[in-house]
Amino acid sequence: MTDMWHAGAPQFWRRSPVTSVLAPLMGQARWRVCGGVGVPAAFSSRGEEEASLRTGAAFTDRSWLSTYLVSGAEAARLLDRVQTRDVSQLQVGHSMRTAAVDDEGRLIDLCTVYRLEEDVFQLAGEVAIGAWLARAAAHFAVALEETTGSLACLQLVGPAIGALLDALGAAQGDRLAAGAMELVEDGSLAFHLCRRGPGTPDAYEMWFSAVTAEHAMRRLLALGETVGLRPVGADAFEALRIATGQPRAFAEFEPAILARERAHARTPFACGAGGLVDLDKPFSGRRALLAAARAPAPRPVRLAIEGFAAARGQSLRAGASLVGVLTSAAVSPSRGASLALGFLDAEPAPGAALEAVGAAGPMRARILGAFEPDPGGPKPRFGRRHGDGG
Amino acid sequence: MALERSDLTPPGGGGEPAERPVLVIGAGINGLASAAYLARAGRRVLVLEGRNRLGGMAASVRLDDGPVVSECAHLVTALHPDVMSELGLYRHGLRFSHRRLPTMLLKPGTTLALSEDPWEAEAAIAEIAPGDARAYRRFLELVRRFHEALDPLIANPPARLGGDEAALNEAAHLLGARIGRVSERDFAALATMLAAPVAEVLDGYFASPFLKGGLAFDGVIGAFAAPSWNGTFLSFLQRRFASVSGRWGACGHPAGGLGALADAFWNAARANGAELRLNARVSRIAVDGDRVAGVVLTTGEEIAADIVVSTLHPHATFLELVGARHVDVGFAEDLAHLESRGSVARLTFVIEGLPRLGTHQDEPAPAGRFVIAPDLGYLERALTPAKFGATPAEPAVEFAIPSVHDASMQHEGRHIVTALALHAPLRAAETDETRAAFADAVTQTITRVMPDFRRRVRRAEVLMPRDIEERFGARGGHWHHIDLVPDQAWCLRPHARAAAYRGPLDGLYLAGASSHPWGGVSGLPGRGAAFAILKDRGWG
Ligand SMILES: Cc1cc2nc3c(=O)[nH]c(=O)nc-3n(C[C@H](O)[C@H](O)[C@H](O)COP(=O)(O)OP(=O)(O)OC[C@H]3O[C@@H](n4cnc5c(N)ncnc54)[C@H](O)[C@@H]3O)c2cc1C
Repeated sequence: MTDMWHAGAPQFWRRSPVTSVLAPLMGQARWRVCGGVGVPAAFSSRGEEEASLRTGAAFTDRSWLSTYLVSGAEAARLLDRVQTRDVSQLQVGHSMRTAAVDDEGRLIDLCTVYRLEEDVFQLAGEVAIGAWLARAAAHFAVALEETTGSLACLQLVGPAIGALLDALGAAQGDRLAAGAMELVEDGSLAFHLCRRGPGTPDAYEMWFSAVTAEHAMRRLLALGETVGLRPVGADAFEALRIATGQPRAFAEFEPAILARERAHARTPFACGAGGLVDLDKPFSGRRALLAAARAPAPRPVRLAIEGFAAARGQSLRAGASLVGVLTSAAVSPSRGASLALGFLDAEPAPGAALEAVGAAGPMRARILGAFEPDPGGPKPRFGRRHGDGG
Repeated sequence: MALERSDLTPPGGGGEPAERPVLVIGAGINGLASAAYLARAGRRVLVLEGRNRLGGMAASVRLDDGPVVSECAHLVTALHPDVMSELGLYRHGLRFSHRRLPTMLLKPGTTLALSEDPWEAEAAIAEIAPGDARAYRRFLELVRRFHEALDPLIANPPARLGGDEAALNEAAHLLGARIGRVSERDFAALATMLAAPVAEVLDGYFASPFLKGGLAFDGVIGAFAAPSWNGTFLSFLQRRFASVSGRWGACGHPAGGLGALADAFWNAARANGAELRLNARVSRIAVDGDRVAGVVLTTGEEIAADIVVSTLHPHATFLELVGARHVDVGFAEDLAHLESRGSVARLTFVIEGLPRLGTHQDEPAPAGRFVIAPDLGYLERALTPAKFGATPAEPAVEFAIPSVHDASMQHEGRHIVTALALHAPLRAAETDETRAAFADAVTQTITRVMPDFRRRVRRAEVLMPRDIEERFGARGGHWHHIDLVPDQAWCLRPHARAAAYRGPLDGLYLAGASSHPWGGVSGLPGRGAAFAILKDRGWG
């Protein structure tokens, strides 16, 4: 049997805690690098993977996420200070999607905050924000521990996942509310189950220790056989993200702590993530965002583009004028088209056909809607509305 | 958790909803200037001072049962003329025992008197360095023209970066109006020199090491720097701008010491109803959301206010009194890294009779501001030990004998010498021994130019930078609270997001030496903050 890791992944990539179990399941050695970790790009064909996500039970390895444990008497205060939503209101056993911004209101990352205990939180995101978080924590009575790499995270998606959760012994399983968490202990298997959504229905996260990850992975695969659980690669998962209009770091925005040019960083409002910003509570960067909420910004759009050649970086054209740019694109076999996220700097003139400009010529494009970042729990209800909060 | 505004009681209790006073933290020159301007505009003002006397670093103090002398700052170099006239400081009791003290550069065997009269100074230079005499006048002319061009920027609030277009336009207009009159050559010179090392500029004009050393002294006093360091010419300009005599470059001495200047500011404030509480140390600035709600004193007393003016270092204001949790992460981080390395020690000597200059053995020392910095290398060498926490064996010194012209300071035939010694390191702690050792080095240095000085000394008191920090609450014992360098000037002073006297919290204003334009006793930061409040509230 081919060793898929050695066949396809550069040596300097890190391995996920479940790589050894997943690599043999890959049809070919195609890898993507996420957060420095090599993750399978695909296990089977895109059509099959998309079908599992939409109609069956699928999972993908997200262990590459940067994770931090924040604990101590002022843990809630710190997170509330550095996140745009009111983390202090988050109940134990719940999570929420929120944003971290710099002093100028520019996105550092879209993060998920989990309240594990009264004074213990986990923070997960795509950007390594440890150094920034440590600086922010300098004036708070908290302990900060980077847990990246010591946890494994699987994202499970699909209508058949509920049955799998029953088989895993989850007491609440698919009755969990969006954002809610459950500690599942089933014999030698212990993990935190967290329901995502409501933007992406039937989506769950499983978090378990890297130490037991291989064992847990095998067990999950064995139990999953009954519901047809299939691994899917990063590419199919990316397509799902684009289809559901979720902006992400390094695509729709450059993390402000890394952006070399100001123009590459965006505020949450400019990224269609105003719904994750509660301007009624104090947080770092709020003043800048108050001003930014009213500032004109390019319009974030979800698009369907004919053919399979749409790609990040392509221009959007309406008639003779360039009106925007694509920031993410993926193939959707079920639609027979590409799906994309992008920004419109100018509105296309009425009647002018919108096109993405690829190497092989223009491709017709159609606006499907705006970005719709998932609040990762109940929809926020803020006192006042600012910007595109929605 | 922040206090709610309703938790706080205005002074005087309930009853009529009287206008809440503007609270000013710190009764240094700038706090008093702010109070005076606000009171003059009819506002209620309450000044809260942590010490038992007003003046901050510009206070006077009685020496045991001896005379009252300046406690820290000792000469008035740059009191802005607009502040003097707008507040009527003379009317409020300000008297100078001397308004035009000449600067006398000293080294063993040579005395060079740089009177504020350029012709006189030129003649004096001609005697020791003929080639530099004309150059001196040209140099002074250039500095005067710089001053004329820049004064509107100094005396007016700076713009705020990021959207304050009106202020930027105004500044550009002010500058343009003056710069328009500046020649192409001057403009180029100004652009180069603003960030240049003072040594480089002086090298371009003069040959005499002695003259260059003496002039460079003004570029490094109050800064942890050597004359070869970038930005020291800006410091030099600050010292040379605006003077009490209305002519640049001269310095003065208020009768009764610097505390008398503070008294005049306070009288101007009090005349319009401002109140002052001594021994009222603020331990916290209460915040309600993005607004200030008042202050809490170390006694636990809470005072409600909509407007608080802090004259403290931005670190103390935002990280200690407001609390880092109420300001943005990056801003807090920047403030935590704001370095304040004080480098000037203050010495007071009580001496028996008047000493004589080595060059003029048959007459007692005249009135003057004496500077010992015989060449550029001397200033460079003196910094080296300070970098490693040691005191220089041969420090550069500025001293005066105010009792020569201020009779109140003579006491039973004894005179007072006030001295500032540069390149004193900011150390974790000082002991009587470390202080005495430095006093001895300064005594030795003065004795080289005044041979009978040492034998006349009866008493020496030393405040090292750490002592100054502890006594006056000025972080690091720093002259300007934070360095005066081009990247911490104008719209970047003390920080881009706390410039123009306003920080990130509504109702909280900054008025201390770390605000535009700089430290010293100009009164301008206090005035600027008061104007900002009046403008923001439409009280103008
Ligand atoms: C050694 C030395 C010599 C100097 N000599 C000269 C000179 O000869 N000529 C010159 O022009 N300049 C001189 N300066 C600079 C000048 O003294 C200062 O820049 C100026 O006095 C600063 O005034 P300020 O009001 O901004 O601050 P400060 O004078 O520092 O006043 C701040 C006030 O706030 C008070 N305070 C602090 N914390 C609290 C609190 N929590 N609650 C209430 N009150 C508080 C302090 O007690 C103080 O009174 C010298 C500085 C030093 C260090």
